[in-house]
Amino acid sequence: MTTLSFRGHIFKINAKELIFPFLVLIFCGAYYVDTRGLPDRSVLYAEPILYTTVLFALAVIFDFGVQFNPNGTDQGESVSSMTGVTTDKWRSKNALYVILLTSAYLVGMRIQFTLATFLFLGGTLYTLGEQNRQVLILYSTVLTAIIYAVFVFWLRIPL
Amino acid sequence: MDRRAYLRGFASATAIGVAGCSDTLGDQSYPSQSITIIVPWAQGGGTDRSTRILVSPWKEEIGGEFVVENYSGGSTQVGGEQLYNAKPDGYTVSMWNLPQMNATRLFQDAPYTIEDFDYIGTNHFDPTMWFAGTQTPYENMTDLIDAARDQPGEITVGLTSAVGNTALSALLIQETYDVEFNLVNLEGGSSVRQSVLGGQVPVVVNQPWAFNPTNIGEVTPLGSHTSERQSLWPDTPSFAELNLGDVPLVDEGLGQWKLMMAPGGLEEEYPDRYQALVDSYKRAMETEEYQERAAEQGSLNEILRYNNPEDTFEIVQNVSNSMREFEGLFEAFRNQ
Amino acid sequence: MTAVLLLFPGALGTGLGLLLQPPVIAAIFIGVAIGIIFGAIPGFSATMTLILFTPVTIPFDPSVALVFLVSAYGGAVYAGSIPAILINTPGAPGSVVTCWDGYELTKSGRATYALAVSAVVSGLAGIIAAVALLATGPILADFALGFGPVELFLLAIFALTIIPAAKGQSLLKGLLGGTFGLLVATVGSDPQLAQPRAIFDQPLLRSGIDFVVVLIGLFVFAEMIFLAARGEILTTDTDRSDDRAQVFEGIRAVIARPVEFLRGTFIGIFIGSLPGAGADVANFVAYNEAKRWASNPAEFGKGAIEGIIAADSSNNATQGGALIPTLTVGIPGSGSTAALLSAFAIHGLNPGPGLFQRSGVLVYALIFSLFLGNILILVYGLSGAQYFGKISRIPIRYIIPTVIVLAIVGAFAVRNSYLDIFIMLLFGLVGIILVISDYPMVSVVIGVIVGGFAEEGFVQGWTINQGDAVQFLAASNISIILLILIVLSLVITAVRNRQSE
Repeated sequence: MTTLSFRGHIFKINAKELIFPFLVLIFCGAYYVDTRGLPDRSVLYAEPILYTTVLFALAVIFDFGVQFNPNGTDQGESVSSMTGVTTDKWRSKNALYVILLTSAYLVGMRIQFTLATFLFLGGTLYTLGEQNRQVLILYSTVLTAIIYAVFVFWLRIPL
Repeated sequence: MDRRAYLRGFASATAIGVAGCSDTLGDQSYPSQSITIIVPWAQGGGTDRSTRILVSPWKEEIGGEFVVENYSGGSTQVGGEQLYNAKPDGYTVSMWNLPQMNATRLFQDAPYTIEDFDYIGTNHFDPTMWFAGTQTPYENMTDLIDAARDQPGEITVGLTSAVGNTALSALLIQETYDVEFNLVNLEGGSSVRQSVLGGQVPVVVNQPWAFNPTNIGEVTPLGSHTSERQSLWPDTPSFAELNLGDVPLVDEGLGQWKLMMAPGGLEEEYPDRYQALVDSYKRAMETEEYQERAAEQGSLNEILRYNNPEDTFEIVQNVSNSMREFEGLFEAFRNQ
Repeated sequence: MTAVLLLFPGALGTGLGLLLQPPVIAAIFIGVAIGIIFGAIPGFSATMTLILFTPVTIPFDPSVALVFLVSAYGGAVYAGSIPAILINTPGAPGSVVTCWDGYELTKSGRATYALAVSAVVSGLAGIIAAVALLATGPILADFALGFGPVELFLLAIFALTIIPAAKGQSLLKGLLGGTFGLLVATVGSDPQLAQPRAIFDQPLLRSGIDFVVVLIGLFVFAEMIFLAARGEILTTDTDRSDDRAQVFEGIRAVIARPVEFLRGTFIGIFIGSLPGAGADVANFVAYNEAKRWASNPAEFGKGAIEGIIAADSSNNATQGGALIPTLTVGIPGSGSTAALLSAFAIHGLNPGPGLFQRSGVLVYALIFSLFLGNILILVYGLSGAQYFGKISRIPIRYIIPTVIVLAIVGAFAVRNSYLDIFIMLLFGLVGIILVISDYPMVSVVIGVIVGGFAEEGFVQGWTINQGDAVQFLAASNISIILLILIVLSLVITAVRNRQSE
């Protein structure tokens, strides 16, 4: 949380609360530019939804993201009950690695699906702490084979 | 066009590259892998159903496997671009419709023209037909036009797509008799059927087979945009019989063609494969199995109409020309 | 039963005879099992399972093929709840809300209990829906036909009233998530003139952003990332009570709550029968109603068994409901039944008026197969509960890569497109942001799910009623009832929220 002051007024900016509304605003902007020239009937429903979304995004920014002359010192940190973000042993690095590995997998699978799948499975398992080489190879091989046999060969998904 | 030219170049490069081994393999081996049939509509619709019942007999005739892939959306443009961008190697074909194909080009800036494809043959012709709910007072098209004259813009007419044979038929009626309907695109055959059977919309435009002749008696057919009566709904008068001959395209018959096509360049690059597709498609259409399966699907067999590739292309050109001729009507409708 | 029997009584007995042939019986056993396996894979919905298996059935006799597919359909709808309960990733859109209470139970070591409840209510709800299909088919079909564009739009709004009722997070954030979801659903061709909106030169986006892909991103991918950070599924080692005891506890829990179960079932049958809405909408509405009428609303989302009963009775009941308009008028009641229409064509069935005269034997065999299929769901589900429950004790290093690969294959299979995998990943990242900054994720999902038919319904209804707002809202008796329900729903939520403050 960053505090700014301007002519005696204090602004508190909560960056975490700004990410989503800003993403939404960028999307809305792109949406607006893209649909500007369309006939009215094409955006009969979409246009009001677009404006409402922008309005809510701005409201969230002013309600949560920016505090103007706040009375109290801290705003209660909200915690999602759904995924249990509260756990003590939080391993952000693991999460980041999985995101990176998945991104690499998406690139790899366009070149060779089976090989990329094999590498992704083994790589992720290793990253998440599996040390035993035999387990790594066995898991990746068996699962890749199953996925290939069922989805690509039998059900003909053109991967 | 660039994309197409590039693909052609690519295809010929590949053809030269593999020329050495193609002698040993020969095109006798075609098809050596499964052939994809692109359906530019969702599962369960008319195009999907008429394609899926074709797979089994065609498989026998060509001696290979088929896979049907549905790419719905954008009034067939999504599937159309899939076909356009596919390699012309004989392993991708598509069951497409006219005039949707031309419409996507004219009104949705699709990148392809009718020259960008090779044609295998037509499948069937389903004419445009108007239907009214049984609770409405209209008994035929003339009643409807008279009523529309009295209440301009008041009578709602449901269409199957933004631009296509059903919209064109409605626009031509409006233009010819200087009447105005409240036109609404209900997007797709099943919602058109639902809206008129459920009474939300008094009048809809569809095709007799697409509407499914099992519904005879559930709606009032008002007339077909043709010169002759239609065998599927035999009690329905044609526009010519109703003296609505002033409406353009009555003599030619305005309707929806379904046809089998391939990406352009196939005939040039792999003439054997193209010929194999053309011949086997024709034979498959003639098999008793296909005729029987078509009969089970609401008597589709009665409107099956095969045309060879040359005649198919002529039909495509004619439809394309008439769509272009009435482009102004669509433009006005779009911007109203 | 009489209503249908009058249509074509002769076929009833022969339909039963057809069903009892060994290959057909085998098709039910295998179909339910395959449905459960594929439905349980996060990213493979019942619709997807039907689409993928339709070509596989081509060589078989129509009765075997169609009974197989209908059985797989039921199995897949049920099984969507298994990963929802075990690893907080719904297997299909119809099981989103099962996560909320099911996963809480899993975290406290009571996965088997939750799974047993899910199996019992799924099977029983499926059977009741089959009875409804048999007994009230033509009546419900008429009702479904009367459900036009305006009514669909209002149903979407009614489903959206779950946003203010969502568990104690900011209403404003919920509304932003909801409208963002609705806006995402408008990407693609517009429903009147087919003009592209925000497709950014991606031809495939003309058909829009598929909500299954969004769901895989938000719920499956994001959850795997959080699981990687969290390290384990169970938060407690204390409760390791006998699995068998949990199964019996689950059965007793359902028996003790007949009202909750029946309410979910009837909501499922009703929403399933409407063209355009299926299990994906039903589970939200059923959960919302269960919470509204519950004596313990505060427990919802913290492991309330009533939440699972509502979600899983409603989603399995949609199958019987969705088959009603599909068979009687040939208009699919959901995405899954649209996929089923393809299979019907291949196997020579032409749904619509007169179907019972033309193909009565086969149709009755199909309907009867629902009874056996749902009993099998119960049997497979109950006997499997103790073994599935062990999945939550598998180290997460095996779960995460497996689920991610399956989810990616599932996202790809929706339209055979790599673009969808990128959209999935993108929404996965959005999901992470949503959780970190404490947004109710459900609001985005419900927006995307109902967004498609909300727009179509609004635009068509508005055009049909020539832009007259009063005429639009009062289009029919059904629309007036829906309006009243929406207002009631909002008022009750407001009063409840005030009370809890």
